[in-house]
Amino acid sequence: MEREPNIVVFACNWCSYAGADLAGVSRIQYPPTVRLIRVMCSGRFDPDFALRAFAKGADGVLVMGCHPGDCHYVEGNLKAEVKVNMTAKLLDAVGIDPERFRLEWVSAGEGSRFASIVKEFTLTLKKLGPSPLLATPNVQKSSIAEREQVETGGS
Amino acid sequence: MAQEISIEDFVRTCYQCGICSGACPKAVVKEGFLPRKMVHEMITGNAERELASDDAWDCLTCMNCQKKCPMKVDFVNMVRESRRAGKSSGGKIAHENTLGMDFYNILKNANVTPRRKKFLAKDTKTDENSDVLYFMGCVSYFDIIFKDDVGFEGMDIADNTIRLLNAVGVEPAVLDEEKCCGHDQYWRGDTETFEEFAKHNAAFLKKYKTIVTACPECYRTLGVEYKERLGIDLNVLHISEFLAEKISKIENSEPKKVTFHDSCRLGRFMDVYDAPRELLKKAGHDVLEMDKTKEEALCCGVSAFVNCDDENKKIRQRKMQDAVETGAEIMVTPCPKCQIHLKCLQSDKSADGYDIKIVDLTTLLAENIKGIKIDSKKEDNKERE
Repeated sequence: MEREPNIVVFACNWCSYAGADLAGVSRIQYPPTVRLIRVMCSGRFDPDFALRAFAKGADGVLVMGCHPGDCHYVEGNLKAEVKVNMTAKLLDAVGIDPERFRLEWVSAGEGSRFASIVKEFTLTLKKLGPSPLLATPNVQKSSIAEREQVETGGS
Repeated sequence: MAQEISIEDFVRTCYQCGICSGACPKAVVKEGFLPRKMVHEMITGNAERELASDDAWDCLTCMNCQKKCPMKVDFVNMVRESRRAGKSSGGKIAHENTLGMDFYNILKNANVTPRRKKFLAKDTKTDENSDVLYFMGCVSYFDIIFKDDVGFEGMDIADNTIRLLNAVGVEPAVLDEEKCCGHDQYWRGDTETFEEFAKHNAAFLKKYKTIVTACPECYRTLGVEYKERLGIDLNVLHISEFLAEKISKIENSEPKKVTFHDSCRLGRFMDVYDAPRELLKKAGHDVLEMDKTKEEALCCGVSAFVNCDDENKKIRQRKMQDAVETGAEIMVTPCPKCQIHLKCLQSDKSADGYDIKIVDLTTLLAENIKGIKIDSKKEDNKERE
């Protein structure tokens, strides 16, 4: 059976969580790859949330908030955007593909949008394969050993 | 071997003169924090009580006390071992949300290769097969975290270091594989993580004849800690030492008044005081000394991001006051982290501005990169030898 990716979603209480709820009650089908964590505002998102999710074995992390201008706390989602951009760069620098980490705006009425984002993100993650942190360490070690052999053999 | 030494053994020679407490910058700002008292507790059988207190975490490990000590008590290592004993929970890591455990857990995972070369400027020349390796350290991460926040110019340090090396005819190797040197983990008492990083790095670093770094913390850790703790012998040079030997003069049409901040890891830990000043003078800058300088230089206020609070801020304010009073327009720091901490104070709205520009040594030297004259005699002599 094909491996399903694990996605951790941080969804804001007022828009995106309600959007996911709407997707549920409307019986819109989407892959069971997401684990939703409700936060009061997407501005609650903290770089450590994403780092910890990846450290604990998530394949992807989604942050969801209200559309710009719709935030229940006026500008919490804009603050989230700043933090998300910084975290994406940081993940890139430590060696995690920034495509595994994304910010999306989903309003309470966009159940179908929620479902399509999850579908699309799941496909992206399937293409990328499992998180590099989950790969067996032996693979990497042997490739280093091989490279060393080649290098020392050549000199 | 190090395991057999108990924590008290680092300080047993103390005869309680109290010079350390007089030299300690933290003792001035925090009531009740006295290095002499800490040592007294340690050697009079109250080690358990001392370990349970937060004293060890309040220490800056700046080595001001140790340099003054007539009995050469190894105070900083006593503090480090106390942190390692893990009996006090007083260690709060500043910026824990981004630089806490999870960040390093990801970084130390063997399957993850950090990316750093793609962040370099396009005009920098690097060569994989060079004898010289430039160990970039954590500036690429700090650049992302602190650039918008306090205006820290991390990648500028990396770019300018490579540009300066290019100017003296060296195209250094830069490795994506390199991970954190483990300095912060080591001084926070997390020796296991430090050793993991060290073993990972050593596999690559051994191949290079010379390792150049622009970060005093990497310099100390790669040069001394790797050797003492793990027997990994590397030839490490700070960029200022490497350049001071090669550059004879830097032509500069706009000399400035500058003051040099001796960071603890470069100055007191590694005894490099003259090389950076020599370089600044060669570039025609007027180097003004602060009230407390060289061995007595004040710390920037935090090391290894441990326990940054109001008291540490006061130390930083004193440091900035010292720098402003020299009348210099630029404060030159050799250490990226000192730059972060000092700029953090400047960006603080409640601080009085402290109107002095803080610039990294490499960034200042690279301003006149075209005027660099290489000492050709020395090169010839070396070839003849």
